Amino acid sequence: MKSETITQRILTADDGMRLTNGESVVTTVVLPVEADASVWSEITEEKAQEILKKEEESNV
Amino acid sequence: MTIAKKLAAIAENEQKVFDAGKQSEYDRFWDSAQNFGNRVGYICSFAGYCWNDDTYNPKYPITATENSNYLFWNARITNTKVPIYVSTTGSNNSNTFASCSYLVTIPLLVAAEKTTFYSSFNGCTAMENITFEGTIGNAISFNNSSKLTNKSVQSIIDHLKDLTGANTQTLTLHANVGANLTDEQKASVTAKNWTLAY
Repeated sequence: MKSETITQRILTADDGMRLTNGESVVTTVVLPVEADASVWSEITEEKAQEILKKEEESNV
Repeated sequence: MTIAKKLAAIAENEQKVFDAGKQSEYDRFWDSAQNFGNRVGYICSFAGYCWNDDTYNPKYPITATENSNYLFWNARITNTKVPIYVSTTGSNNSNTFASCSYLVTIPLLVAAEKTTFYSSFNGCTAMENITFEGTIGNAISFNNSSKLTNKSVQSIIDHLKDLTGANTQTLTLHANVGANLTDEQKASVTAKNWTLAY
């Protein structure tokens, strides 16, 4: 039998908000125990849409 | 042989002759385009909407180990058909499948530890199936791929490099896909010191 204990930190954006690390725009982040959570910040849905729109336009 | 018999023989073999000519042209084109399987730089090679399931029929695996920038950008293919070896240099593989909104299946993608995936799958809105080989050592995102199967996600997870003791990298999935992961899958990601975002 293999038994492991995995410690995680889960960040969840508040309603109407999203999380970003400058590259990804998401609502949930599951961090390993050693990771620095401060690279993720909360932004408004409006700001998130702006980032996603720019990303979409850069690929057209 | 009389002329009549010759004409009869030609008529009998018309389809075979046509098929042989067609095969010859296929071989000539793809042998040249892929340098008999030895080509390693594929920048923009199958980019643009002219490439679709009829026009894209490679004869050899795509060994884009030197350069895979924009390899399939905006192509209208549904399946990459052959194994794809993406650039191992760590700098020449951005946007490899970007804007491939028709792409459903990548049967085999072979990555190396240094391979980067900057915007590689942006706009892959139809993507369902992807199978990895090799090592995923840098951040990778499927944030536009809401139809990605759990089997595909498992293939991605299985090939994430163990970053224990190193800086974490981020695996980004579409919200719907991430929400359907099991706790075990999430634990597999973080156990390798990867951050899962969805």
